[in-house]
Amino acid sequence: MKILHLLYESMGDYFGMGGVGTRAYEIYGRLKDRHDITLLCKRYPGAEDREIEGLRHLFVGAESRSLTRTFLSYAFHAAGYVRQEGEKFDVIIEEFSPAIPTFLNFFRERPVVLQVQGYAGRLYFSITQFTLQPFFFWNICGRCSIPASYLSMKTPRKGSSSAVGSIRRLYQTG
Amino acid sequence: MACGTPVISSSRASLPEVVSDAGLLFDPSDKTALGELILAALSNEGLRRELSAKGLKRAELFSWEKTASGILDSFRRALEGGP
Repeated sequence: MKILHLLYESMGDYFGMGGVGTRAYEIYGRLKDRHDITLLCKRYPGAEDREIEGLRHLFVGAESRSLTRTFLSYAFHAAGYVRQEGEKFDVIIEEFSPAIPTFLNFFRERPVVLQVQGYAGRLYFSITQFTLQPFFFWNICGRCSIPASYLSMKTPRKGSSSAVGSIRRLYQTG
Repeated sequence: MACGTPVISSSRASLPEVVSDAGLLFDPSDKTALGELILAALSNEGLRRELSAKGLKRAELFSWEKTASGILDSFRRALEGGP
């Protein structure tokens, strides 16, 4: 299987790496021998396309020491990459983060799997304390709309109601 | 849990699903609740032993191999157009 994973954080990332990256390396380290895996990561100062841990890494977006600029630039360029190269992959994986609005669901031609383990929901909302900083404002809006927009694009199938339920539970308790 | 250390965990996001009854859960917005659970664990050796035993058993349910296999299954279902 040819897998493209939009992994916004990677090993050696100038901005650090948390659970999303750790999880991806653990999983793909076990799949890489039988599957073709490409990790599309956010560019950071000094990043160069290369293999890390035996996994192909491509870095897109602006090289900046500003995390906000890096995230938004990554979202724009990652979506552009999927538009141009997405057909070469069997399946595309997107880590859900409202800070990285790729809107893949609006132009996907390949199956997109949305992973939502990074969702912090109401807790994050309380941390930001309704700050009016535009980036936080976008984050909050994104958390309220992006996963639902993926679900709304989905053709109803057996079992899809449970996925909707999972997203709703995340809104309520996340 | 895998180390046999008593676990006190936030009750948010996926943590309750992972910890289940093998740890003590607290609302992360409630500092008092966290403090009370820490004190309870520190002052009660029986509770610590119970949590340690439950944690070790619970941890056996999880492995990266199982996770990778489950993730791959979900990718295959996506490819086949399933939920």
